[in-house]
Amino acid sequence: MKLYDATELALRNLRESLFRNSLTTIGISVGVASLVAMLSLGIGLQQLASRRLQKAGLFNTIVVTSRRDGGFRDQREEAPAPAENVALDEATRQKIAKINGVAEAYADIRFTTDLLFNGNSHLTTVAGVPFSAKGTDAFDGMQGSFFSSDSAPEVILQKSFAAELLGKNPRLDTNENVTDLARPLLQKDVTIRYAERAATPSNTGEGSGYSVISRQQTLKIVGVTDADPESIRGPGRARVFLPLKLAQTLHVMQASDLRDTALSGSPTYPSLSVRVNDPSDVPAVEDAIKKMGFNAFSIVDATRNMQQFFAVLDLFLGIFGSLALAVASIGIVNTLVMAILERRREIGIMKAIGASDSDVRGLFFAEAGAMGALGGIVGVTLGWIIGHIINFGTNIYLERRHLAPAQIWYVPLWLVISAIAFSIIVSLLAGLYPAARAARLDPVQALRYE
Amino acid sequence: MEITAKATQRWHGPFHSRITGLHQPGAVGPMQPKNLRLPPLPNLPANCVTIQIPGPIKLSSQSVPVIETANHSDRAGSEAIRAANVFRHYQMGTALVRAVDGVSITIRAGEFVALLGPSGSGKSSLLNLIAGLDRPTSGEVVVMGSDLAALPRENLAKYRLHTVGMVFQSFNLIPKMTVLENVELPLRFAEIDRNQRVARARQALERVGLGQRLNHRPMELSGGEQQRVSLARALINSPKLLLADEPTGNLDSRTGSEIMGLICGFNNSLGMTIVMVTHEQALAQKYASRMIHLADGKLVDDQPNHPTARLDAQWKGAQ
Repeated sequence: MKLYDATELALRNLRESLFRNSLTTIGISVGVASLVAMLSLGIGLQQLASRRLQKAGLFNTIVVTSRRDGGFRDQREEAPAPAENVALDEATRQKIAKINGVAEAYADIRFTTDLLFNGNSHLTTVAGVPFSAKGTDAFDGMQGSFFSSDSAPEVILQKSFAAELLGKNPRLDTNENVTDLARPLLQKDVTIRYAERAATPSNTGEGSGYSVISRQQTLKIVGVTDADPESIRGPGRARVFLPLKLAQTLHVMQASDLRDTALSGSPTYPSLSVRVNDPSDVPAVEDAIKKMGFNAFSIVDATRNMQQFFAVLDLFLGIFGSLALAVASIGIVNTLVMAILERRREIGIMKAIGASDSDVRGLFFAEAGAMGALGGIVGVTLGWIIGHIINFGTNIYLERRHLAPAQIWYVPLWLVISAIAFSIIVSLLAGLYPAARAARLDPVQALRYE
Repeated sequence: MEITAKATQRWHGPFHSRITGLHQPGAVGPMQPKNLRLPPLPNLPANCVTIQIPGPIKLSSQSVPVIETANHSDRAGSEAIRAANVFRHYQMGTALVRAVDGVSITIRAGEFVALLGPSGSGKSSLLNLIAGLDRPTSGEVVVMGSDLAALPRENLAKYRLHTVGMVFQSFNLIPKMTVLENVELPLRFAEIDRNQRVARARQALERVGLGQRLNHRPMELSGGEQQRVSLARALINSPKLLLADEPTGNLDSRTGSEIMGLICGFNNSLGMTIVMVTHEQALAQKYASRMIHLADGKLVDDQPNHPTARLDAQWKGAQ
């Protein structure tokens, strides 16, 4: 029998005992829905986590440190001896910037400073932010604007620091709205006090000395960001952000300065951030930098663990989701075995007029497959709806707690297709036994049966 | 009156005795029509009245010797069915039921054989063996040259599909399908295209005199109409063999003779070999050209018969 004919007859048979077959199909739908619900929750959570990292530009950033500092030392790879003493200076930065796939390489500038606002002094960490971060969503939920230029005397404040400036306890007032915090602060001036390292002309020609001068600089607040201090581009936490160029021109005294002077005499950077064009370039660029004799670290290394975690989570969610489908498949077996008992005579007639075993088997397979396909489609829809309801509920809960709404639910197209395919496959497997039983039915006995 | 060659041939067909193997399988018989898809027959009245008796046979004498003088060597049909020492035993609990207990018969192409016997005599079991619905416990059933016992299940299904048409006492139509769908069902198994299926099903239905009510369900039809549908279904794949299991058992006598007229017509005009199970002696005498009696699974009598239906026809014609 042709597949089309078998399907047509199967659909007709399913319509014949509509109630029972509907119940079975609903059973499959519930199974598929629970599978889809579980898996899309896992996928949604994974996406939520990686989206945060991606926004922060961490997936395409490599942090380079000197091996001399022992910062992010890779335990597995011992540095090649001759390169051991390479300094992380301006020449190196330019060399790294020329590696294939590198978009930019910039020094990470970070220092602790005293910040004056309304006559009060606050001790905080300041970091330079490259102007290239403007395009990306590095600053989540920012009020105000990004820096007007790469060396503008402007600052962006992290939300909790903004609260601190306004005299609020950032720990107690975590629910504070960014908009409310930004209103009294934007366009106000703050003053930072820092120690400048000024080079002194060398008399001997051997090395160079420098003097430390206390300076201050007035900066305008242009933005307040909701972003987590941890997720901001670049290493380490900071609560106040300056344009990178401006931060460089300040020549703030760094902790490594003294030793650098002692070793090579030229100023070096504590670390460099290297941004690559494509996240897939990260390993290659990382290797190239390591060959130059530096430590390189990227978030890709760190997310490997995260991906592993989510793979395990998805597996478990999938197994739990499949349980319902497994139960539903027993329903299919039951329904089809019932159908055989009911349609014994019909099967006998079909065999008497020339149906082969495979025709009968095909007919039952088609019925199982049709129930699977139908259940799969309904189930995916159901799962999608359930997902939206849960997402909606979660967001209401998050809003009550003054947290940003999140999309913890995500149903990709591949999940839709594979859930339906899986449902059909499971149904066909469930149909194996009934179909074989129907095919082996003895026509003589079946026809005698009234 | 026009006399068809086939009718002549059938009439002079051999009436095989109980002695099997008299005619070798290879014996050359008249050619069976290759293409059984003939234009629809006119609505056949009961009792085969369209079939006229050829001149040389003196029917008016009402004597049977005609058959004895029939020339076997050139008029005999080729061997259609040969059952050799066939046993079919069932295990019913602890009891062994010998449904068919050592039966040997040979049926030639074009014969109309009635299998007679009381219920439980094994006539239906024998029919099921010939139909390929069942396999013998031992012995061989050879139909149209193929040994059914040796055929794989798939090939046996093909045999049922293409070589045999079956009609049952209880019609065995599928209740949820319309008349047309019931008739075209075998064509689905034969993987015939949809368009062709409908045309052929209509043709078959017209041949059994059922041109209307094609979209009705079987339950909406009378018994006679249902049996016509089932006849059309049996014909649809142009089989060489028609097996009927008490085809008139559920019908009143008038409708029954209508159905028998149709079956008779298939035998005469299409040259189909017919094996009919019945417990009605009168029915067999009226239509069959050979009567085989079974009792307790054994063959007890095998006689040629002079179908009285034809005499009736002759008698009517003479009037």
